[in-house]
Amino acid sequence: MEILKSSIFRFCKCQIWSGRARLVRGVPPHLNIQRLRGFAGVGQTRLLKDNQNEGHQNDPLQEPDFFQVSKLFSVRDLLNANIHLGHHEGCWNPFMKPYLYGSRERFHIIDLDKTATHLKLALNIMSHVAYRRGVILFVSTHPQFEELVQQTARDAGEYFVTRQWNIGTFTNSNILLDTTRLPDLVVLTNLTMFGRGAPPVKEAAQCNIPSVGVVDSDCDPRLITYPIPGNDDTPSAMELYCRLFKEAILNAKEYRESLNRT
Amino acid sequence: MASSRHLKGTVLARVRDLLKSGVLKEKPIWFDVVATFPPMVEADFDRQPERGNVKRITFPEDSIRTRFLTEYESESCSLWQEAGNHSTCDRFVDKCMNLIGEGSNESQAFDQAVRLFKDELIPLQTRNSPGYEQK
Repeated sequence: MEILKSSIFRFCKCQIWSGRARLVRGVPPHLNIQRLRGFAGVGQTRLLKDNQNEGHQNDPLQEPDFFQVSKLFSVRDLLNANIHLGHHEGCWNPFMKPYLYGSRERFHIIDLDKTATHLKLALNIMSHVAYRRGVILFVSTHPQFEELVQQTARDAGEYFVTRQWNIGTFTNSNILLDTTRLPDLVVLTNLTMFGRGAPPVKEAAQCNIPSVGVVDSDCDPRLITYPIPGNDDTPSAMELYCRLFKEAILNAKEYRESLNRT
Repeated sequence: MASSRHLKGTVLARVRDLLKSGVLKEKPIWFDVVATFPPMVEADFDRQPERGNVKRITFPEDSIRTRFLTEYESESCSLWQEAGNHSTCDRFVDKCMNLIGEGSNESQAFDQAVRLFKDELIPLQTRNSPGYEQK
């Protein structure tokens, strides 16, 4: 009962937080999606696995990859989605140098081994935050991927900002939006070139919210807690990221729901 | 939402200090997660970039391909064509690499391949091509 109360309370708070039209709420209850997904394979394997070793069941943080995010993708998938393609040498950010493999015909190529390790870590973090009922906010100010990111957030039962980022959405949120609560994880895709995409990153850091961000070879990775080096301008790459984010979140939620059921 | 809005240190370190001093009463949801799986690189705004340039990616056939494309036109190709070594240029370069592997040097291999691909190269000739004036 205690859990139920707190979840209702939290839900009301979220509604207040996304009350104004600028922040649009995703599909409110996770129940419909979760019930459908109960028949999918991933959740059931997870359940079976947990029945085998119940010692770890209470604390997912004990295992390095509890939600099995490393099985969601392979380096070959990243290559097929053109995630290795960076920008022209002229518009690079020197802070991206450790993530670059080399430059081919004046275009930077991103090291996919590093992308894979960073992506696994980021997906792991997202799963754990979703499992702990954290609020995840997707931020993408690129008009081309507005629909995709919105759909991802809706399917995952989370929140999004896909229009212009109003300065102070985090730092001045209680005045601008009457919020009582800030998100627990910010997922940034399509940071624009030369630091113009910086305000959400900077505000998340100022408000002490960890951030996951897709950084291309022209983005600044300094303030992002969990950067994912990779191409963020190609539809195939963005579809892969969004699919992985969605699956990581839904697996964690599925596992949480299964615990409540039993 | 209590914090001092500065960007010194990492997110985790700032919140840990706030908890220690008692400004924040309860841990944020993400706190244990980020403490257990720390970022691989500390998010530090004051760090310096690594020195030096990114290395070039080069292949041995690059010089042959460059020479071919200065002397002959590139074929038009379809967007729907599957990726792979299908164009005349690709097959020409593969042939050259085979010849170099058999022991001839680069210019010999190029000339030999031009003789082998004679018919296919006629529509691709430009004014830079060796036999252009005779035409």
